[in-house]
Amino acid sequence: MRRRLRALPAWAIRHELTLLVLATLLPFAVLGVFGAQEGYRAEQARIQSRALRLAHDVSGDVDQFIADTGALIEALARVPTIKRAEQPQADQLLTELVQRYPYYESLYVLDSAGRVVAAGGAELPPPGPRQSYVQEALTRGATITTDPLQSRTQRRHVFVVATPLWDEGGAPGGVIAASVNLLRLQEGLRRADLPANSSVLVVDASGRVVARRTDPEEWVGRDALFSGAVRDALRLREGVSEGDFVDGLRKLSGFSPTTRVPWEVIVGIPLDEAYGALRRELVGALARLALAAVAAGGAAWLLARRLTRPIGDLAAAARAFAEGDLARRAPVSGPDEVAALAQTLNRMAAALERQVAELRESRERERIASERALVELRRLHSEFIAVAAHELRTPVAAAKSYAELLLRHEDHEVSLPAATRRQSLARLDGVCDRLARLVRSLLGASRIQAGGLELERLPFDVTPLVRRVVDEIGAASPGHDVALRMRPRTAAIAVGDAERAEDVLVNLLVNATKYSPPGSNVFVDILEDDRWLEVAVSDEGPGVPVGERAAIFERFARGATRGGGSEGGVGLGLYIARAYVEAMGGSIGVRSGSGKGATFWFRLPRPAEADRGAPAPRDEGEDVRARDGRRSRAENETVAIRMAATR
Amino acid sequence: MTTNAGAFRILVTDDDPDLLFSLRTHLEADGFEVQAASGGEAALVAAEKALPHLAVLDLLMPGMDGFEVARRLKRLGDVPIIMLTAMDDEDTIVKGLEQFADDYVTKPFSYRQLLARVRRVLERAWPSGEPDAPTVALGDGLEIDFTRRQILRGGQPLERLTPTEARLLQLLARNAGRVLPNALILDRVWPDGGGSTQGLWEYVRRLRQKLGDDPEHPRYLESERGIGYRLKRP
Repeated sequence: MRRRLRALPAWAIRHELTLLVLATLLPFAVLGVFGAQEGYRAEQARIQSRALRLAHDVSGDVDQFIADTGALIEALARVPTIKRAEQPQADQLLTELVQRYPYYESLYVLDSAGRVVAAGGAELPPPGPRQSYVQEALTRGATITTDPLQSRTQRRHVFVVATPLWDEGGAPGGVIAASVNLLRLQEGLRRADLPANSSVLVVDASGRVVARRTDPEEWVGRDALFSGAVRDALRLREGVSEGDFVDGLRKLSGFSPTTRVPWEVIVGIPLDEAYGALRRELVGALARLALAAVAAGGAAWLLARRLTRPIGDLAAAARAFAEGDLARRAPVSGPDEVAALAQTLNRMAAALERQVAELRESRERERIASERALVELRRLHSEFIAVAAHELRTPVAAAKSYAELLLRHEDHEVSLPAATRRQSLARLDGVCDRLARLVRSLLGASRIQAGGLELERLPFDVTPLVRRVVDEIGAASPGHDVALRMRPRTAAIAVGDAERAEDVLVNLLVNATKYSPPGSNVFVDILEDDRWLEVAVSDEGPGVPVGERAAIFERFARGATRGGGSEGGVGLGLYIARAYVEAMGGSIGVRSGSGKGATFWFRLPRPAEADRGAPAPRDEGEDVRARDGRRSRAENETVAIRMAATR
Repeated sequence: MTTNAGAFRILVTDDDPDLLFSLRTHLEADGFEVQAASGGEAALVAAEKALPHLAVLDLLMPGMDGFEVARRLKRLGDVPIIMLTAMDDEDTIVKGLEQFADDYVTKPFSYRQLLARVRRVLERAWPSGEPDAPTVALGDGLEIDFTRRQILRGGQPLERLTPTEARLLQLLARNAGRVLPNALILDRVWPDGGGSTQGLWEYVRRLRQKLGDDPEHPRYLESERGIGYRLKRP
């Protein structure tokens, strides 16, 4: 199976590990974000309170200015010269003061009717009782401050601080007032501690601009209600807001009311100025956080890769193994566990490689063996044909010879006595029997060759069979005395295939007559014990040397004294005999005869033993039995071929 | 069974009793004297008793195969041999023919075929169509009985001959009056190459001794120096 393994999926351990690290960092990141948010808010509040404080400061400045102005004119009100309006001293004093404090447009004294009785400065308010602040000061008997006024003549924006003048009787005799140039008030608003680009705006309760730190000429007196910041200030009186300033820019505005006049001081700081640093800091903090996360992720990635590379190598090695590259080894590196895994994998691969090599080797050996077996099989097959043909030749020649003989007599070519003719016919008949047996053997042999040697296992009485064969062979071998010597008193029942058993006995008897001198005896004994029935053929020939006894049942065996022909046609019947006997569950062998000669025997199971199905026992002593064990197919072939040699 | 004096004697050897019996019956019916043997040993025993004029040998027999029998037969006398073989193996046949056999018949065969070959081989060896007389007269009452390998004087046994001596003397007798070259003698008497000129000379010396011949002035066995030997006609 060489199915290519899937490559590592896109979602790998290194991703997991990276995520893990990032997940571990997440609480810190959240804390960091929260912290940044907190800091941001605190800083924002700080900035806003600063804006508010600035507004307070400026409104304080305005109050202070007004208070100072009030204190100045109240001090002047107690000065006798001013009280009595003594000229020219009063004018001189006032002019001096105006010159010293340029934000006073003018200082002047009015009588209770509103007429100017003393004045210093360029601009004087319009005289007359219609001046409301005169009446107000006189009515209230205290210092008052007016809303900004516009001088009709000089178009200057001013406001007036006035206080009553008391005569000796304690009655109000007039008013002393200071006209404050609003443009000049700007000077007081230029505080050093204001942030750059910040604006300071003072509006009255109706939203008109009282003072502005920049461009005052343009702005003073204008309605500023269009500005959200101004509206917020008038509405809230004190606080901070973010909105459009009068110049149209969005600003952080702090506003605070003045106490001496109903005005609002608004300090506007451009949002960039107010929050820029904070935002930059926040962005910086977030950037640092992100950087830290990226760094952590990257480090985790690298670590994970370092960790997973050996695993990837392992996977690659395993993939190579799976694709058949068994010589491939995984690098032993990385963490201990992975290295151990790599080692294990390598050991496994080595074992696998060894086993595959062994398997290949054994398969090769098997192939060679089966090729050899095939060659051997072909050789045996052709040998089988040759042996079969060869073994058929002699009996056919004999049969033909008798037929010719009788024909010649019929044709009066020769003249044979009746006895000879009779004998010839009998011999012809016997030859035909031999041929029939030979043909049966050949058929059996070809069946063995086809791998299907199956013999019957039926009970049969051995004695009549032995008697018949003994008579037959005895008749065919007049030179030998063939006799049945010992036999059981009762029926000798064995289990097997009677025809094959007869073939085996014929083979043993023919061998006995063939290998023993003429005139000698050949005895057949039928012996039995509880389990086995034995048929033994004893001759008085040269016997079989002990060393050759096992071999004569092997293939191609030819005893030096037995069957020493130049070709293997003789004695090979023992092979077939052995195949038959073993196929019937019996055994076959040879032992020394009683005197000289050899005793060939075969055993067949008796019915009880056959039912038990036990293998034949080994014989004791010098008895030699054909080799035990199952035959290989090749051996069966051999047996099949030898079968053809049976006579 | 006919056993007239002029009949050829044929040794038939086959381990198959049926074939042996039928061949014997056939050949006897055709007027031959038959020595039937069921094996090599028996064949040699029979040949020792009376040397056959022709041997029909089965190549494959238990105990001693046809080649071995032929080898030993040739030692007893110059016996023509026809091999019966069940083999188709060319090499075996060629080897057998070259070394020992005058002809061969492959089993199964028809008797007529065998008979034809038997007659041809016999005619080649005995062109007269008659077998050798049982005895050959050398003159002076001296006779040689090749069947029993004896030298007779006045009908009485004088000396026994060894098989090789008999073979040599028979060869010379069949060609009496002619000089036989040494090479031819060696080839026929020692077919398996065991002879030498020196050995031949030794045999001739012994034969002269047994015949009572004078080596200086031989009456029966003459030497042609450097060429060969000649048995004089009586």
